[in-house]
Amino acid sequence: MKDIDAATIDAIAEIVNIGVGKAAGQLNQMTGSHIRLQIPSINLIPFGEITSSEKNIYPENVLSAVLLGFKGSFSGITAVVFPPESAAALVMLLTGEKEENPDLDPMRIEALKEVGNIIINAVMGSIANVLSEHLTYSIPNYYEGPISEVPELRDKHVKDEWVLMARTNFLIESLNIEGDILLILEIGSLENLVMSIQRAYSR
Amino acid sequence: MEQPDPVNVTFRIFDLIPNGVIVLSPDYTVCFWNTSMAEWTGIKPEQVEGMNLLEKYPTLKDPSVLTRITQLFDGGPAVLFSPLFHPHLIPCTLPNGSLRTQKISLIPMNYAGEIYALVFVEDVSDLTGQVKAYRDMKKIAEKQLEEIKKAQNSIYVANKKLNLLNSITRHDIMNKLTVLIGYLELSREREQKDPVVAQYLDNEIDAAEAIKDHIQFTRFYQDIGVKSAIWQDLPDTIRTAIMSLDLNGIILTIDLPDIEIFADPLLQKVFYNLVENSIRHGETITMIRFSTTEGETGLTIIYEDNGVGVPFEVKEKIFKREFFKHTGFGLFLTREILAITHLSIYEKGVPGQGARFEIIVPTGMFRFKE
Repeated sequence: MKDIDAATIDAIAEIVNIGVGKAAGQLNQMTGSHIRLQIPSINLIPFGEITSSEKNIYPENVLSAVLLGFKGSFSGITAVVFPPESAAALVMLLTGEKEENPDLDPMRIEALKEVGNIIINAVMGSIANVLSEHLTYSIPNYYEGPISEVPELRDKHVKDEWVLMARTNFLIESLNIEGDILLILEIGSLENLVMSIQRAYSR
Repeated sequence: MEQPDPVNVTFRIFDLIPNGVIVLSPDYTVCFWNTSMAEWTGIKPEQVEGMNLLEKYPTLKDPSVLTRITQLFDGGPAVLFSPLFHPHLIPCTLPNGSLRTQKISLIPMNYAGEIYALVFVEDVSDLTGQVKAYRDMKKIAEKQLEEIKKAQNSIYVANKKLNLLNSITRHDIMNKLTVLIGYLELSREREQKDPVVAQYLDNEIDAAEAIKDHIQFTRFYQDIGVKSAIWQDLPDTIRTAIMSLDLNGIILTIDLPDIEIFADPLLQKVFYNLVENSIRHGETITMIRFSTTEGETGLTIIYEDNGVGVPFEVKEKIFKREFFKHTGFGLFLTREILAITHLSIYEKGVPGQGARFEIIVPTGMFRFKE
């Protein structure tokens, strides 16, 4: 299952783009700054590559991420991933605090979790809405560390299975804050997703 | 008789937990209000259950809050309100009358074919206090660190200036001393008649030479500790140190593991001095050996030769300042260099059988190379 046709990729990119666009709108409202979004990159990769240090999907040693698992006619994980400096800078921006070397203490982590929750809910709400699909979700989780140790990814025993990874980088240019919105879709549900997309577009 | 609300009955179990729990129906009606919420707000369940929560707490109608809760009832994921952005969304008081800082999570729950919201209200007032204390401490620590850095920089600059002054002064004194000794020696050569004057001149030359030794000593000593200690490869350091020495007729064995020592950059001088001393004073020397042993408290670097050794009565004295000779880098300085990173040196040889110096490297000051 290593091939996926261009039309399907385009359809998935479009649906992800709608969700991410909604999330960017929320982020724009919160920060009052322009958010620059990259076009989502869609890749089919073995699951193990996401956490593999050799592949360097996230070369930074440590990242700050808010993650949400979902299940339904298609299943997977959505995450907002920040380099820790960007995460701290974003929270400082939103709380209006001023500190030279801010770190992510428990209160700021809670604030970051809320920001991640708003972004992820905008993405997933929008996708589920467009596709008229009902999904069930896990409780949002915050993680800080190397990507290889993310519990939601580390504990999956499907390292060789292929997954679809949609990754959209966003940048708050004026403040040099960046991050990724990541959507990892289990491959077994890809067909269902494509069918949902087709149904949505035929309506 | 009025039947109890089945939703309410189902959730009574949440009365047992020490956090606030509310159950909301899709039209925002309070279906359940647990005892913690009653205690924190002073509102009893019967006073609020059946009421619209938005009417009870109008701040919840703020679009930035309400649109997110609405998403949940539309089938969206859980919604989190953090204590930094929403510290008192549903105001609850502490016994002292101040407001509890709260963290609220709304979790969707399918019940009887509808989506309900399970609202968890956590009191994080203690955490807020701890974080504030931590931030205050961090600020103090950062300020102190900044002051230490400034002081270190001032010391560095002052030390650099002092060293420069030392160097210039020493150079000038040495020049004048050379001239003085030269003239004294010329005077001594010409003084043939009066033995008393000749003796005086000899004493003056000796005193001038001693002054020269003292000045020479300051030149070596001022370099110690100027540069930061670094990790140094032990076998490489020894090889480099003795490269310039003439070891003709001496078998040298460096029997060391791949190990690094944390020491002043002048560590090379330590080994140079040991070997140079062996060559200079060993007399019958044909063998020099470096080895190590590891014990519970650290590592011992052993330096041995098979020369005449060190007499018992001077085993400690050789490390004294008075033993410094202008011809080399004395054992006093050797000990000083090692002491910078808490390394120590002792002479443990048997007189007549050879010298044996043991350098004790405490745990943490050595590491094996990977």
